[in-house]
Amino acid sequence: MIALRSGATILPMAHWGGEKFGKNLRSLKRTDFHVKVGQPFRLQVEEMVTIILRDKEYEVRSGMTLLSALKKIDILPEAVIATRGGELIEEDEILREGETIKLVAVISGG
Amino acid sequence: MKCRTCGKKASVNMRQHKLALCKEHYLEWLPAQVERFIQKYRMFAHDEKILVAVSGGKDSLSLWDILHYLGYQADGLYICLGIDSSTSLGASGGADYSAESQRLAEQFAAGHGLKLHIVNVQEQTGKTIPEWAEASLRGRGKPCSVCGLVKRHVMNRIARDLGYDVLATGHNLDDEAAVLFGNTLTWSGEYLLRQGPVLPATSGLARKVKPLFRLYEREMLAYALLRGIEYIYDECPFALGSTSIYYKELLNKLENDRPGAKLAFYLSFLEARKKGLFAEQEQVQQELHPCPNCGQPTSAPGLCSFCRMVKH
Repeated sequence: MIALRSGATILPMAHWGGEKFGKNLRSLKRTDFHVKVGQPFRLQVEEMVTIILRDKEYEVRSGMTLLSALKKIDILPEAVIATRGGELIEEDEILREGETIKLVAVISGG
Repeated sequence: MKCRTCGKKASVNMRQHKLALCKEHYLEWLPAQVERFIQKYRMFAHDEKILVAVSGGKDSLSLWDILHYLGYQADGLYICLGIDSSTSLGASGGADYSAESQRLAEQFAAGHGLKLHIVNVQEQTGKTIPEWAEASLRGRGKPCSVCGLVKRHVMNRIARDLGYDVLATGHNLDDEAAVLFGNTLTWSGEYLLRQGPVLPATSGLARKVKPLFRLYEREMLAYALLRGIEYIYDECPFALGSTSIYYKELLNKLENDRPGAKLAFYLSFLEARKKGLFAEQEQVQQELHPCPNCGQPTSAPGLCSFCRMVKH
């Protein structure tokens, strides 16, 4: 979480061999220690998609279909129509990074 | 998903029909469907005068838009119920609901050059709908019953007084299926016999029709959005938590798992009734008497429910 928030570079390292130290000591053997250093990397924040229905806002991962996103936030697809920038979109539409999808409730009026 | 007609990207997918259409073809398809239902169920002809009851919602405004597009002589009727922040009986979100609905109905009429009749319930009867609900036994705490009574009375009166042949309302399939579901749960035989897309004219009552009765509420919303019709999005504050909305939500869950279930439920009901599944029509049909005050037909001799409420 610290690396994610600070954006710091992560250097992956591993060591092994030490677990045999006690056993080797009893039989007066040397113990080899191993250290491996991997490639440095940074954690990237995955771009989210904002979904708005009336006064509620939800966030889902980008790259999923509208249908999957609606299932994830527990909204019945039958009960809403989704719009992207005023255009109607259908359930198989892939949601893009950083965009906002506005849902219009089907039931309205008196 | 691609439009079945032109292969372009689809805007609306109707799973119950296995049909996806782009904006252009959807806006052609839906009015054509409405025209087909008007003809099939013999609702009205092009030479008849139609009064469309408009509430400012998506269904009634879309219906008016479609009838105008199809070349029918359709005027609008808006009934101002007086639901606002000061008379909302504690309902939340009721601020100026009626004023906003009226503004949208007027805006639509002006934008399309259509004639709109406006009736203000408070000016005509002395009280708003919430006030009538408080004053009468019919609707203590919940004015929906009073609202329905007043709206039916006003719609009939205006249609009759101004010489309209037919009164059209924007009830869609979801509205009809929810009412049917409620009546089926209680096996209200009399209501089941009366429910239908066309109620023939009787002495003192204009013919009532529901040209959108086979179209899903979702389809009507898509039409309103694609046509750019500005409508009142908020629920009536008194409709929040109502059983009709609960039934609609239940039916939507069913529809989600079994596309076409709502349509089949309603159409098979009409078919079953036609085949005589319910009681013989003659046995339950009541004799109607004219109300001595307003002249509208009523089931019992004497004043009708509306006049009784207003007089007391």
